[in-house]
Amino acid sequence: MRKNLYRIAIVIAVVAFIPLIVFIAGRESPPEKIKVETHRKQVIKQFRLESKEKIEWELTAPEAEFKGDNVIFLKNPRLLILLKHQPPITIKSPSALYFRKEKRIELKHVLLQTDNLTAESPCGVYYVDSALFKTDCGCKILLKGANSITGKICTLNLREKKITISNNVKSVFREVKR
Amino acid sequence: SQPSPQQNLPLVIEARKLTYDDQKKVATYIGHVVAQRGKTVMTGDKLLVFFDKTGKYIEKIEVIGNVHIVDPRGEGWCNTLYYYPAQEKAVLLGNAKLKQGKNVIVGDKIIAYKDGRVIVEGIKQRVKTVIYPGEKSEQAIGLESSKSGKDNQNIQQKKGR
Repeated sequence: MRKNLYRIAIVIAVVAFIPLIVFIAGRESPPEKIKVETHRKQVIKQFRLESKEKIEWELTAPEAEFKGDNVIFLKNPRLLILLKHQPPITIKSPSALYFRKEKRIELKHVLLQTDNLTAESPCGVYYVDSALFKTDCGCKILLKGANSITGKICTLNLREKKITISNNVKSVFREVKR
Repeated sequence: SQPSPQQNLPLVIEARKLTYDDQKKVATYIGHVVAQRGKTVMTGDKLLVFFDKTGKYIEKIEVIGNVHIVDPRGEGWCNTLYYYPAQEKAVLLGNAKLKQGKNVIVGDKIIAYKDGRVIVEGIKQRVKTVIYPGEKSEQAIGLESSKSGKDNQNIQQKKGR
């Protein structure tokens, strides 16, 4: 008789513990500790930056976003370059990164226009202080008279109005009889 | 005058490197330069294209070093070549040699015109011409005589001034 009572007691004890076990198991583990960096998203509408130093230029974009304190992401930027004794030169792109310290602009799908030529390139870098545009991902230059020049590595020296192209240089001159 | 079909053909130039000076309107090609217009192909070490002031029209082309021209009418070699697209005239300078079929012309300066006329000058060396009488293409050379111009078959020899 005593044995049975003893067994019953054990069963009751075990049964009593089950809810506690279920409760403990079901409790969510504390969330993982993650380090959350808060970025102040600085977006500027109608961005405008200009320089009157050696070379006069004006950089505008409908929208610009600061990425840290050195890089500015520009949406649809337009760079106007005013060199002495030359008509204005424009560089347009759907997106670009302006590096303030380095004074360099990295552009995608670039369209550069002077009074005499139009240059297109999938990517390129413009160096503000030296008025140089460089690309190593190919360029196509349209001159007057439907003449065109293409190549892989291109440098446009806007101040000296000189173009240097290497690798796969090809020109097509559709010389029109005057 | 109506431009000839050849003049409407584009001039395609390929090279290893190009420098274009938009102020001087001169394009300089360096390294394995190949220039082709229609069936005429010129190769050389260096090639310069001189545009007019507007930058639209080519005024002159200069090919320098190991110049070789292949044309349906024949072949040509020289040290330096000047080509004037508007007049379709080529001036070959320095070890100039033209070959048409078996006929050969050698001189210091050869001026070849679109209509096939050729003027050869010997400045340092005498002009040398080898013409095979029976050669069909004898007529095509059209070597011109400078004295009377009556007989186009005569071989033109000019002493350098």
